[in-house]
Amino acid sequence: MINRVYRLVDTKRIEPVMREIRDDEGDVLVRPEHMSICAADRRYYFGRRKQEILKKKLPMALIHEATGTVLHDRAGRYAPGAKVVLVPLVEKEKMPFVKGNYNPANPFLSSGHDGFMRDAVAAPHERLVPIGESASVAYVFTEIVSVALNAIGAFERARATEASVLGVWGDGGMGYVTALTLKCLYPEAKIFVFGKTARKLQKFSFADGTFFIDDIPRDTKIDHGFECAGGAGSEAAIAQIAERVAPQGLILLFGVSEDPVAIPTRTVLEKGLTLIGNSRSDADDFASAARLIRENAVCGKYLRMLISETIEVKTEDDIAYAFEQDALNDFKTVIKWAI
Amino acid sequence: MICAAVLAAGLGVRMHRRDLPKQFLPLGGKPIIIHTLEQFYAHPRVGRVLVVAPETWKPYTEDLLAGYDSMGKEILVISGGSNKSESIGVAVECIEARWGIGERDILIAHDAIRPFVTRRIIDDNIDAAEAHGAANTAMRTNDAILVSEDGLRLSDVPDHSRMHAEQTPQTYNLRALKEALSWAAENGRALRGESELPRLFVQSGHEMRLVRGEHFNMKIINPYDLEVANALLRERGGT
Repeated sequence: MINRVYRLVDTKRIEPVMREIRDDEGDVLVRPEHMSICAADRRYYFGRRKQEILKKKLPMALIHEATGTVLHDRAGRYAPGAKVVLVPLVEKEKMPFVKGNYNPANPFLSSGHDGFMRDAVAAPHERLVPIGESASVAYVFTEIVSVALNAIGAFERARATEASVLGVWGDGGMGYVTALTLKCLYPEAKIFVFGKTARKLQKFSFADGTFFIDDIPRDTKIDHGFECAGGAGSEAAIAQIAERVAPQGLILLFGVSEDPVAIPTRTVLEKGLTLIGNSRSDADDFASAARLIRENAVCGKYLRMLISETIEVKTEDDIAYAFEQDALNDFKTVIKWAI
Repeated sequence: MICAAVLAAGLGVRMHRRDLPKQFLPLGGKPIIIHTLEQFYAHPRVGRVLVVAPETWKPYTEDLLAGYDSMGKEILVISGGSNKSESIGVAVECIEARWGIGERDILIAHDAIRPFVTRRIIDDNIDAAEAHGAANTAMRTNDAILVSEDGLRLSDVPDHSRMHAEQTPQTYNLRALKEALSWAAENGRALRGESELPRLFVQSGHEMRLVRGEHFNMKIINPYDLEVANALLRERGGT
């Protein structure tokens, strides 16, 4: 089947290329329906990656957060019209003791391989998560919830101390989802959010406390910290978490920084802290995330509030508009894919 | 019910391949007509698909289609029509005879040799036909149009800003189309040309909306077009 793939060919320039979907490419043909723009997509779109990275990875279709509608399933497991979440991790290889999302041999769509900005995606069953016919648009955030769950899984495996007060640094989309997921999984714990923008922090109404990073009360302490600041802000966030966290606490790192950031090793050593890197998620995390959205009323309800704007995309110009608007939005821009 | 009619009655004279009509020539890994049909097979709003083939090529068309997955869609090959307008008329007769025509039934007619039609074009056609009765796909022309009565001397230069190039699909509410065809018959109007049907449809008092096409929704009618189409599909592989 002829398929158009809408690729970023250069900074702020998206062009369609025709590609034939072959019969051996996947069992299920899925039409992407809703997409969500991630900070990583934005960095590629606006050329905020290093030149050598852009040269290596472009042209490439963006977007790794998407839901879709099944058009056809050769194996007959999905009826036409079934709603699914698309999983961007292609688990080609298994490494003993290593999660699929950390295996460098496994491609990740929209990072060196075409993401979901296509007419249709051919995928095997294991890269689809069913979400039911009347699925809410909140499922477009399944990927970002799965990233939080991947990190929380690592947190649970490493945790040696109590988890009564959990701090999240970062008042953007990742911070919101991480804080919300923690709230759903640890309802007894206090969830504190640390950010720098008042209007963004206001949206964390489910949190037990929000703080400006330049005005944190002296006695505010946490058991463990989740760094979702990213960029240049990672360094200050890690330093603040190290300062506020209890001995033998964990610091979960989510934020991507283009340049190396300093770590306050004296504090890390003195307190016996553990820093855990987190990136992406695997198909099991996706299934758990979809379950959480479906079964946890708090999660589903507050996830919908993460949408800053929904933009219908019918042309390449609309794609450009969506990215331009996304740069202005505090939280997530959702694309209704109608191209 | 939305029925797609893929119009494949041409014999490929301009392709210089009289032994195999152009819609059956390979493009990438499949015949052109299969690529085109797959866009309708995969469309969730399309309920059944008709293929209007040349009489002599009907058995071949049936054999060819049987070798590809129709994604669960009901498909029927019929023959008839010496041009696009007549082929649509034949499709209407077939639908009426086999299934009857309901008030909200839609026919979306598309050239078999336009395999690059998009989901958005099909959706816009259906939406416009449901809301207004009919739609035709068109693009503003990049080139000025010159009119010549004899092919030698310039007769007229129409206002460029009003000119659009017709593509397909053409999409109709079937009841309205049936009325227009009856009106044409009563008024002695024959479906002579490729674009005669939209003209008659509008002249019979119905509205037809224009839907924006795409430059790449090209018609593969000569060897150059086929080379361009193959070049567009050249890239393979991926994840």
